[in-house]
Amino acid sequence: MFESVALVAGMGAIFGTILAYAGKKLTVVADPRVNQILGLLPGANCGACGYPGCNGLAEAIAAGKDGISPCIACTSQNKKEIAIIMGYKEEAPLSPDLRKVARLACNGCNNNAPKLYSYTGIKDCHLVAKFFGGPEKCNFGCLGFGSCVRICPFHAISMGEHNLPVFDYDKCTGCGLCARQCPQMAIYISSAARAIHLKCNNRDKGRAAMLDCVVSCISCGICAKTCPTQAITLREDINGSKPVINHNKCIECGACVEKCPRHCLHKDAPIAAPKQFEVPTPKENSCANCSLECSSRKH
Amino acid sequence: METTSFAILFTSIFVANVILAQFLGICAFLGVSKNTKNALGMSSAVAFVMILSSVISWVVYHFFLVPYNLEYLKTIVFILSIASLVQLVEMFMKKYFLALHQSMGVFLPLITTNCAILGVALINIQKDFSFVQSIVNAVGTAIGFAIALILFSCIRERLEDSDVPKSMKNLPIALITASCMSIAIMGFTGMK
Repeated sequence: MFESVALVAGMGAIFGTILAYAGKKLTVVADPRVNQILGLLPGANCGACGYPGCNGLAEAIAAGKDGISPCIACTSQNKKEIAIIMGYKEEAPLSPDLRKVARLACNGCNNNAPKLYSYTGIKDCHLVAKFFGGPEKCNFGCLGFGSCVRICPFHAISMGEHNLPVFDYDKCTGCGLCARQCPQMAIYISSAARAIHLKCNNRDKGRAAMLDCVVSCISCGICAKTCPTQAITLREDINGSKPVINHNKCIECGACVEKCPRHCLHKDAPIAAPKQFEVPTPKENSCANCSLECSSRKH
Repeated sequence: METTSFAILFTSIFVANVILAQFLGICAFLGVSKNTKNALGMSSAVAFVMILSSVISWVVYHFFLVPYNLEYLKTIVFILSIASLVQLVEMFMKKYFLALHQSMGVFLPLITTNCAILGVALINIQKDFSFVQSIVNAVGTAIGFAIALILFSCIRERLEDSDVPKSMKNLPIALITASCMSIAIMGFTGMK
């Protein structure tokens, strides 16, 4: 009886002493600012800053490795507070040129794009793309199964009535997750200030492109010839041919939009300057607030 | 009782697989099997803690409990010593091997009180293993755990992409899968 009590109590005392001593000796001083900064970051873990999630960026900021700027999605108010925590001077507000948003380079909606077959399987763009490049005849355009909608941590993308994703520019932060997710590479990130956009991702030429879709770019070069400032050039490379708009030269006159015989050049409505972004609230079953790396990103 | 090391290893990996035949450590098995990367981290942490715990428990049992005839205290003493030791090692790792700590640090506190860890320590005593034999048993059990966990996580990744009926989604189908795997492993027990 006495032995057993003494043994357990003695072991407890010995282990406790060792742990208490080790806890003092081996303690790692954590920077209290990391948690404060983490609370001010959006918490979407989109990875657009190049660090592994918001925690990685918070550690980098607290260590003074990077300024406050890498986070695209953080509100200017929160950035100010981070600057105060770190003792930095206030950063200049972002100009509208610097705001990046996601855009879709495709107009091949239900009415425009002829179908090869009808697909009834799991609604995931990556799976659909494996079957002959998708049910549409065009192998470059949007597949319309909404992988971008599901990955957007800010819930800025929804599927429109024509089965094409629609971007809500009040919410879009330009983090680029959708562009990386799209198997067709039909989504791209560009400055919010730019107005003229090619709404087609087709790299074929002439008849081949013409058969693909009603509104496909056939690389005819009329836009390049029409442009008064030679801002459009027809680029041909290993991926095929496609007109490229040099937005530094573009004066947004809209001449190319009018002349395009395939109606695939569009002039977009202006997008507002950087807004105050809300911290995303997770959907039910959402991956947005989960820090685990997850292979499927289904929710 | 003369058992070769190979027999112990094979038994602990396959015949008496810690998860699929002995049903120990099911919590970790279901909790951390959603993707292979986490499963790998978990298995390495389990291997680490398992070997550590079987060493400490063997030493504690044979040098502290047996001399005083206190064998009946083994469960509580093992829990005490394993938990403190892992805590100590974790602190040490955090200080000196930060990369190692980041790769499996999250899982360490999770599994110190896992039944698989305690189970191996107790089985070592129950089967009267020598020091080397108990380490071999711990290594084998850890390999068995890793095999079961990684296979299961691979299957679950595929399950995410398959068209599962709504009522069966996620955990129900995972449990059915686990039971199928268990039946497969049970085949070893029947072989004589």
